[in-house]
Amino acid sequence: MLSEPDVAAALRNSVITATLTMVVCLVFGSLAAYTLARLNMPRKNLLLGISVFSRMIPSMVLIIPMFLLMRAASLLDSYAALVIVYSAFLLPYVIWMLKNFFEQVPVALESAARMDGCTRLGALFRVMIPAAGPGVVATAVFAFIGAWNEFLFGLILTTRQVVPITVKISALVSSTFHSDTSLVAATGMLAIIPVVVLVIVLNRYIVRGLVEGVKM
Amino acid sequence: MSRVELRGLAKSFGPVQAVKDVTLEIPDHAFVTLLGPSGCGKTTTLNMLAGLEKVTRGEILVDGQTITDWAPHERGMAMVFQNYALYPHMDVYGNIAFALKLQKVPKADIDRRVRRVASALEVEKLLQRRISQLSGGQQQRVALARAMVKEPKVFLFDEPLSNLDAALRTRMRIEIKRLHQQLRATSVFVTHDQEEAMILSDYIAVMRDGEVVQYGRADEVYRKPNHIYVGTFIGKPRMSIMEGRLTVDGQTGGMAFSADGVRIAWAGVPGRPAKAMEVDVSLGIRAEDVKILAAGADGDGTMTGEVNLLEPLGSDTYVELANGKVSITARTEPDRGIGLGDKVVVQLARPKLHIFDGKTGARIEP
Ligand SMILES: Nc1ncnc2c1ncn2[C@@H]1O[C@H](COP(=O)(O)OP(=O)(O)OP(=O)(O)O)[C@@H](O)[C@H]1O
Ligand SMILES: [Mg+2]
Repeated sequence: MLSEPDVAAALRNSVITATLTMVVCLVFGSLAAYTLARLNMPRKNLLLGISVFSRMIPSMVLIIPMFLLMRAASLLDSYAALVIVYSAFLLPYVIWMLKNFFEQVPVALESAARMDGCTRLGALFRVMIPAAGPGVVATAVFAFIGAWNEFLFGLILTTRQVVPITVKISALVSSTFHSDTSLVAATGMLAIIPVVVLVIVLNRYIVRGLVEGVKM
Repeated sequence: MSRVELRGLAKSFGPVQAVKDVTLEIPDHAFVTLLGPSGCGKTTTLNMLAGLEKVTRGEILVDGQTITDWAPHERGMAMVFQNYALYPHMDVYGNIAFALKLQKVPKADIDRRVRRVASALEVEKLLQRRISQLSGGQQQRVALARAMVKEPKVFLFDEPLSNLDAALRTRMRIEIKRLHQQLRATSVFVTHDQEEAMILSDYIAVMRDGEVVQYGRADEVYRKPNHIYVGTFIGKPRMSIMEGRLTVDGQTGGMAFSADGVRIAWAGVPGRPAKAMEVDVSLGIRAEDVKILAAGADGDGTMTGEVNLLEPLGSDTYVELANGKVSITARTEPDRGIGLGDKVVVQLARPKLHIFDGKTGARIEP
């Protein structure tokens, strides 16, 4: 089945897309979450509300405009298109989760880091994020899985180069007259493996992240 | 090892005025305590001094140089926090070495300095431990080591002992005092525990609602509180306060206090003129200044009361006695044979009285 070149390529596409999405979400998400959790800024909650509210618009409504947008930017069938769209959709959740994890890190920890010579940004990356470690890992896994499972935008925004595994599976069903059921099932299993492995390996952190938030 | 000055420091969080006007001069080598009840702005003042909190108004100077807008790490200060604030993702060594690593101190120097402070604070055996594997007292020592390794000009402490149990608190208190005597670095210590403040400090600033009510040498703040608030906040047991009317005879210098059927009179001091006055006062006296006389005795500044509470401490016994609404606590030796309900005569020596204005609470010297 892996000798099926398309399936292997699709798996690779998904891994790359999901990983990049995760990284983008973590970088921008942690900066935004830190601002919301710690800095004195007017209308913080309104901003958070707007970002979460954006998720109430059904993706179906956005699919055509998004397609046109990506075509205009000549980004169709590229990793960039998928990563941008996935990050845009996942970021509200990521920001919200990270904000809660950051809020549980004692302010004094950050103060200590700043006394020791960190800038605010340095304190974020050297102390806040490591101290909120399990929570950050849980959020990262969440973003990865979110990107991995996405189907709709993967279907519309890709044609050949970066087709993700989710789209590939459905293509296997519909493209052949006599669908090779065993191939479809096997590919489906394959698609689950990375996520399962990820969760098993990081289980300790994910559970801690979800249960206690911050390791102290 | 620096002179620190706070000039008219103020801080608002939106509509909340956390600190209104704090002016302090902290001499070189001094150990100064900011003392006050919860929410009076001690931490906020300390955070402004540390640079962790922007000042709304006012200036901070170290050795005559304005540092109001400097970043925290540029000020040469180190802070010990209430919950220690040790980095949970590093081991003890990493915690102590963190600041030096950021300063790009050569590795060998870092190692030497970390080991030296670790052994001074008796945590050298714990260097490889994770923070979560330390007891509260050990965490406290590591936090002290982390502050010391930077060799700061000024040490800042924000209630570092309040999370320890009583026995450990007493021990760490002594240890901090000893460290200060060795290092002689200027220290600012925040606490709401007046006993801690008395034991540790050269100078005490008593705070209320974002303002300093009195700032002075510890013994002076104790012996000559300038306000009823300071008098009652410092000292254990709490200073006895009697509300009543005070009359001073301008000619004889004689003084009389009357409240609620109780009358206490003091003769004037010959040769020392007094200002005639008649005012509502709060008359304060500390337990150790109340002398219990033999039954039936009479004399200058005496009053009779009935014992309604005994607090034996072993070394001393505190006797609380009442006469009508007036109540006074006296300290006495444990074996005086005083029992509940006894009528006793106490003498309040005139020089030991603290007279506060009945309305404003400010100290009056008749
Ligand atoms: N970040 C903040 N935002 C709004 N108000 C604050 C903030 N920090 C402190 N305050 C308020 O400022 C006042 C002084 O707080 P501060 O923490 O300095 O008190 P404190 O004397 O240290 O008290 P404690 O003994 O409880 O630590 C309090 O009324 C507090 O609610
Ligand atoms: Mg405080």
